[in-house]
Amino acid sequence: MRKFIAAILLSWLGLMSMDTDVRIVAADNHDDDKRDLPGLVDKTEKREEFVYGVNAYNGTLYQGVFHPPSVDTIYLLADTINIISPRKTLIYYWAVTNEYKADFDSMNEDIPGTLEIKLKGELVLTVEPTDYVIQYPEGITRGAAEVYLGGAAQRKYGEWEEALRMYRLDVSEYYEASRNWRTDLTERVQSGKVTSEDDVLVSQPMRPADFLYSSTKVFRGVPLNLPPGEYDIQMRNDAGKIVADSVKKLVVFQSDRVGVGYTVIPEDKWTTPEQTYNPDEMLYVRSDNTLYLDPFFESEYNEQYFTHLEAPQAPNFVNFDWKWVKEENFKISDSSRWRRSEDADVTFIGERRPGPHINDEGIAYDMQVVERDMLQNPIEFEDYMVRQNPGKALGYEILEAMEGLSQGMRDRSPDFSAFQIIVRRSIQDLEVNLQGDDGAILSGSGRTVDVVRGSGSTDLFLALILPIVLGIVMVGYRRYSLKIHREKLASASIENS
Amino acid sequence: MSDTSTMYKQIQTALTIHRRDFRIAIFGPVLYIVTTISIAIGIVIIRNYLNYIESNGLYPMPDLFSFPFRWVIILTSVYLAFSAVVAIARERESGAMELLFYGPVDNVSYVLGKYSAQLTVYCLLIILYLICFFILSNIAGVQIPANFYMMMLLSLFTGAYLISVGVFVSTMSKSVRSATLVFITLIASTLLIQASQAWLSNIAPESDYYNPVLLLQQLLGWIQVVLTWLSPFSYLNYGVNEMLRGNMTAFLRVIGLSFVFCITFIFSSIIGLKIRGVRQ
Amino acid sequence: MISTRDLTKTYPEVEAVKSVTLNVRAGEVYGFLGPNGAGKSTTMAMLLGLVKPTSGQLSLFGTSLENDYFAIKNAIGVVGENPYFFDEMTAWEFLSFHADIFMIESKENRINELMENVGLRQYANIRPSEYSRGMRQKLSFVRALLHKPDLLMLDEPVSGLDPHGIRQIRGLIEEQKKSGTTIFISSHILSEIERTADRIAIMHKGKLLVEDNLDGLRYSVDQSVRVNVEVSNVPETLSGVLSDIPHIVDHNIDGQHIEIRLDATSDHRAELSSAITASGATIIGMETRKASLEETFMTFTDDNVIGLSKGEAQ
Repeated sequence: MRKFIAAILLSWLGLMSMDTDVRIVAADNHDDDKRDLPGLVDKTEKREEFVYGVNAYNGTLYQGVFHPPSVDTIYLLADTINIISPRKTLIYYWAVTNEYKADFDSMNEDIPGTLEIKLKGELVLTVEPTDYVIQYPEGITRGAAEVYLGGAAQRKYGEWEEALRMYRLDVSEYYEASRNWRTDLTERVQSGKVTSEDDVLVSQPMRPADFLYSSTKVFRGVPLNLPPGEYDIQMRNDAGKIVADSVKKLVVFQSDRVGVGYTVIPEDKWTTPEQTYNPDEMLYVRSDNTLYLDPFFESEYNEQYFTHLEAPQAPNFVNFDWKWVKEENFKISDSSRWRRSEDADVTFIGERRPGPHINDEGIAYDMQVVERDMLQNPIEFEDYMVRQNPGKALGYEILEAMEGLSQGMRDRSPDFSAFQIIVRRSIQDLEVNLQGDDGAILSGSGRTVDVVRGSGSTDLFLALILPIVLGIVMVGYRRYSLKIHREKLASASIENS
Repeated sequence: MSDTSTMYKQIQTALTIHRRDFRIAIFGPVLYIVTTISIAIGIVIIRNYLNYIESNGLYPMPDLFSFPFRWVIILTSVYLAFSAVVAIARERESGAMELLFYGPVDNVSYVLGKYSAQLTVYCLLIILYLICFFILSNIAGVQIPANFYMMMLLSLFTGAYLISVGVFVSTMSKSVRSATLVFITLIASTLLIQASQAWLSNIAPESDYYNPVLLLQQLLGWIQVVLTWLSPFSYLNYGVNEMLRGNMTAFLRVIGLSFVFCITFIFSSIIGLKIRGVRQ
Repeated sequence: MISTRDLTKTYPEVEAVKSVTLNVRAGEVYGFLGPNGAGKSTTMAMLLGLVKPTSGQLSLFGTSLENDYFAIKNAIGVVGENPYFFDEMTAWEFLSFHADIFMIESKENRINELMENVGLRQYANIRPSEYSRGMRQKLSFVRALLHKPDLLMLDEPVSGLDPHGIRQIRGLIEEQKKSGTTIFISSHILSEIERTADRIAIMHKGKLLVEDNLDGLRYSVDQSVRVNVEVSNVPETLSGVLSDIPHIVDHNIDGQHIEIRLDATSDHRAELSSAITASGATIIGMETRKASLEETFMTFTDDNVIGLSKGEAQ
């Protein structure tokens, strides 16, 4: 037994020291002259390798990653287009982040050939590379990605270039118009024709909305849209041979669940919102508090798979955990709430903000609130502005956007949009859900808001009284009963004698 | 003697041993010290959560009580498993086991009696913890969700499994010292292997070819897979996570597997005691 | 009651018990002797099912433990060499626990009766750890007798006891013997075995050397009877007369004391007495002495005995 434990301890010590050994081996590979110069990064050894460059869709956007030879499995989402690009490049080991990096700038050669996909040893798909482009018409952070292949890729890229050219024209026209307007305003002020703010604002030129339409260049790659499963992938060159290092496993996976998550903004810490992903989560809140809930769509994936999709060289753990991934916000309404009013003659300068949120099917949602099994008034999705207290006073106030507007906050757009939940002290808990205008509750959108009335005070330790008292009673009873028995026997023996 | 009669005798003898061991456990102070410490740790965790909610106003999480309860349960079940380890090993070492086997006590009744005593104590402690958490819930002003009761149910099975491991270790060991060392090594190695794997995984191999780091990563990975399927701690974590995800199939599977392993270890303890013998 | 045939137990380093064949009859007191390391404890352990034999057959009450484990165990009472008690229990709780194991009805009465018999009644609610050695041994006896066993197996029952304690234990054994209980005693205290045993077996280096009653044992070692004669005078012809008697194996005259070994096949003391008187000597006293168990034991076990027979600690 002692030997067994000694063996374990020694192995552990051996493992601890192994890191040093690995580093020493790495250091030996470096140039001698560089080793003598402190502070300089050692020149890393680069070598030519076959790699797979992958534009992997992660539910929200396409992420460009590469798979060096040391990675034996590629992870992709199912039922969506992913692009795999076999390349030859220079790779090198980067000790700072413990991973291999690719020097595509120095070498980025296309590998001609076809990509073969096997399922359980049988060839199921052969795909040739084609032109592709990935675009985000509403912006990378806002709308869905669109992939175009072949001739359409060239065409859509051309459309994007044209749209960019038009935007640049609009911007230059706006600058010109602004210059003219300022000149005109100056003249009018100097001549006394301007008597109030209203005279100024009405004719100010509108800045063009930001150009959010985003696109990659046209590249060459192999598009794959596969159902869930575990495949084998390899590259066959034009000579009919399998390209070295091209054989890998391919794990195509899908989400286990979809749901609705919320960005929860507490009133007193609006700059540090929390995220709630798991539909089974509780929202523990302090009483006398106001929360703002901004929903988003989400999907739940195997954490191990998803991590490797985004970071192929991430460590391999035995992991049965799941991970919620935010995928898209609720789509904006076609009609903006903020339009020019005939009476107020007021508009926002800058980007338009969304109105009521809708999902893909065109349903608008309100928040249903249930308190003590009783339905409360539904809550509408509103826009809010944050007004900083002026001067030396700290703090801020969150106002509904219309209220902010009426108080003169005209030169800015709303800071966020959300459902407002007021948590009063008298509330025990609330159930909230998203309810569509068709009356149906959106699955996965429910949350329980639990109001915490107590604080983390030492009163909690009162719960320890129970086990302590129980212990004293049980041990005491035992000792007492022994003592009583002895006394009885002692008196009985005295009587007998 | 017919099989039914034998079984009846075994059960009666097991009950007698159970009663004795149960009395020893509940009338001794150590159980209450461990219980108090476990609950105190749980309270510290809950307190931290509440302080966070107080200062930040908000904390989204599956359940305020599940993580503290897990700690309470792990500490308690490890203690009871360790008690079983020490109790049986000590009886063999001192000759008390031999004394029992002079009479109509066989492997089956002995192991069942010993195990059931610890399991009964564990079940009662779960009830005690439930009451304590009710008290905490009232003080904190936080309701106990339905998930909590599911977790209690799961912890009954994983705790029973861990205790059966303790009984098995003890029946196979020569002395208290060796039994203690084996048990502690088993528990510690579960954590060590996990930590080693995590640490090693952060070392990316500099060569794709033969590399001892790669080999060790692979080896530890395999061991980790095995441990994940064997370790009661893994079952508790996995079961709770899947329960919180609403995956009742996985939850019930974990309960089923815990039960199966528990029975396997009890059965192995009975066989082990027969092979190992009653004498030191 | 107990029967073994070629019972063997082999450990990796040693063959502890080698082909032991013994037979314990119902109602008798069977003494089981042997020096340290002879294999007595291992044999007893096998009889009780605590150790599995390597080979051989073993039966208790005409059947094997595998066939009828609980019935056999319910009929055996055991007093082990080292009495062990559960530290956290009082004597009463300890006995009550064992009474429950044996499923004894009216256990309180039975415990009271036995405790009274051994004089421990007033100490029933004290932990045995506070008892003296003798009290613990008596408590062990009480535990062994709770269920009125048909077979009582005692391993060193009087070891470490003072003479008073030994006497009490001896009384218990005698009592059980009278009630017809078969008693199997393993001991180093030869004097106690000599007093109580009907038959004796001697183990040595794992082998059963002999199994017989005491007379039979003596006879197998020494077929003569020793007679000590005290005379008032020693005529010169006395030695020659004694030598002429064919039934005298040998003799030794030491002053007025004559040690004579007579053939034990029949009683020749009358002839001896006549011969001595005829020689002119006057007999003052005559004493017949049989070989002691100790002498018999020593003869059987040769020179491997260390510190036995006087009740010395191991």
